[in-house]
Amino acid sequence: MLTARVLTIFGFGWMLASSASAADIAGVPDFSGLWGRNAFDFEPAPGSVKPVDNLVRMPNGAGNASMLVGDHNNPLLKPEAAAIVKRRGELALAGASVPDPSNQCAPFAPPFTFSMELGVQLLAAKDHVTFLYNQDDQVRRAWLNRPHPKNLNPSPMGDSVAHYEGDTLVVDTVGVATGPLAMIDRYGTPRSSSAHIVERYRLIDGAVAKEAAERHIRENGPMGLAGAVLVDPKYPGRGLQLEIRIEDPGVFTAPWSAVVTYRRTTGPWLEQVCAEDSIDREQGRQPLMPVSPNPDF
Amino acid sequence: MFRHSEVSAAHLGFRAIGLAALILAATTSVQAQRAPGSEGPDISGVWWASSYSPRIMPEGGSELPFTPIGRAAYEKNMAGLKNGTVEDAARTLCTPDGVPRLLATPYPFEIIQTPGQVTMIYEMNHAIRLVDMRKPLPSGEQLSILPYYDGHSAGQWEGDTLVIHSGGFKGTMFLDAYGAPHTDEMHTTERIRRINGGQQIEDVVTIEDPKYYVRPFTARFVYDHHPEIRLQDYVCGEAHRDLSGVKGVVGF
Repeated sequence: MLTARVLTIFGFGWMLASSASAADIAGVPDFSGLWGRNAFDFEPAPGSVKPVDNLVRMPNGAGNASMLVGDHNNPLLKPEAAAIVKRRGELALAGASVPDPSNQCAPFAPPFTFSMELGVQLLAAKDHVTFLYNQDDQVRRAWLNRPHPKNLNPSPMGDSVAHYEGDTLVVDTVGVATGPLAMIDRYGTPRSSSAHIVERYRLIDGAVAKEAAERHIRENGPMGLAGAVLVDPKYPGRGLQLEIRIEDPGVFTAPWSAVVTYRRTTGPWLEQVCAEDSIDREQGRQPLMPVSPNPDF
Repeated sequence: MFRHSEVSAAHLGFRAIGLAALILAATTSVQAQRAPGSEGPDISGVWWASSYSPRIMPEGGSELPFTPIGRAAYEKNMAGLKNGTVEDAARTLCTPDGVPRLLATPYPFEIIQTPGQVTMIYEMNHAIRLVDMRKPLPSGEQLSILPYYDGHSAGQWEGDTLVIHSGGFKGTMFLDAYGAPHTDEMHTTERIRRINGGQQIEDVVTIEDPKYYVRPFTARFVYDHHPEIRLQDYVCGEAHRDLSGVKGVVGF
């Protein structure tokens, strides 16, 4: 008991989490706590064509996180989608700031969320699971054990329903609103109103998570100095892995899958507010930056 | 906020130093707060105020107890908000309101209780507050290294009441829509509990900011339980839910 108290006071409460979890009591896996990673984009999933990745490589072979030129020859892309990715890459190479949800302070709708956000929390409640992402306080909810509404109105984050399959949380999302910033990833791969995203979350062996996360950093490039989240190198427990399956027949030649691997972070949760950097020195406000000239109260 | 290639190395370097200091603080600082106890009473769910006041109202009906420089800052903010030289970024750009202005929100919010953390998710600006129930709040000096709009918060249960200490705020925000100022040294203490048979919660917040206010003062906010409501996605500048039922909201 004394040990538990000392661990708690001195910030190592995660060592106790597995025995104190309300989620455990309810008979569902405990995904609570702070998770993070230190590279953007999707990881390839075994058996699936790899996601669109960066054509611009650093001398060490890693993707250049500062120059986003998507591989428009990826066989997943239908011609129209490939042309969009190609055009965005050309603009990036020309030095343009190409709008995306991150630099325009727009909702990070799934699956863009998973390619961009580095910190995540899953909060289990009795009838829903809430997903928190630290970059710009993005929030999503998945409603447990109910179908999608019959007459679904598109919304910024879409309609997400969820259920548990043993140790796995399965989230099914449709009805994600479209617009000029509707995209799958940071390379501008378009997303249509038909996009159907299935997420599968499960805890994986800590060593496997470490290897996957480090491989992704090597191949994709680290996000930059310091990193958005600090992965706890001494955490002895398991990692969290998300497998995503994306169907969007108007965009892709076939459904495809990707993986995102998270590890425990040391915290604290980073507050990153998009709009505080909303003034571009040369261009004024970002072109698609949301503003509220007439607040409603 | 990352803009892919537009990440400022200096900015991130500063954040990294601040982050490291905070982690150190979390593992070395033990203030005179009670150690975290059990998970506490259930205050989870969706809550929504039935009235809104753009002006923070100190309990007892008193005026805000400004110091001379606090009053000067207030008058400057009020004049600037009126003539446009001061921008209310929380409304025009949807930056976070921060505590205590956030407590006056006319939009619903949700409280989620999970092991070691109480989370408050506000529909407006999809703001998130995380209350750490396992560690005490680092000192003001330590928190000042990495200030947040919504501050840093740590909580504990005292009987049926959740007591939240918050500090480490940015000093660029307002206590209310009139521009009542605060500094980055503000400390708030909230006492949250169910009232009226559990159908409401109250949040009684005490604000301490000696540079701008000669004494601590307290304001009270009450919210109704709304289990039938689901929070909606919130996009700055777009139309949101109908607030006409919230007394005091104007602009519809």
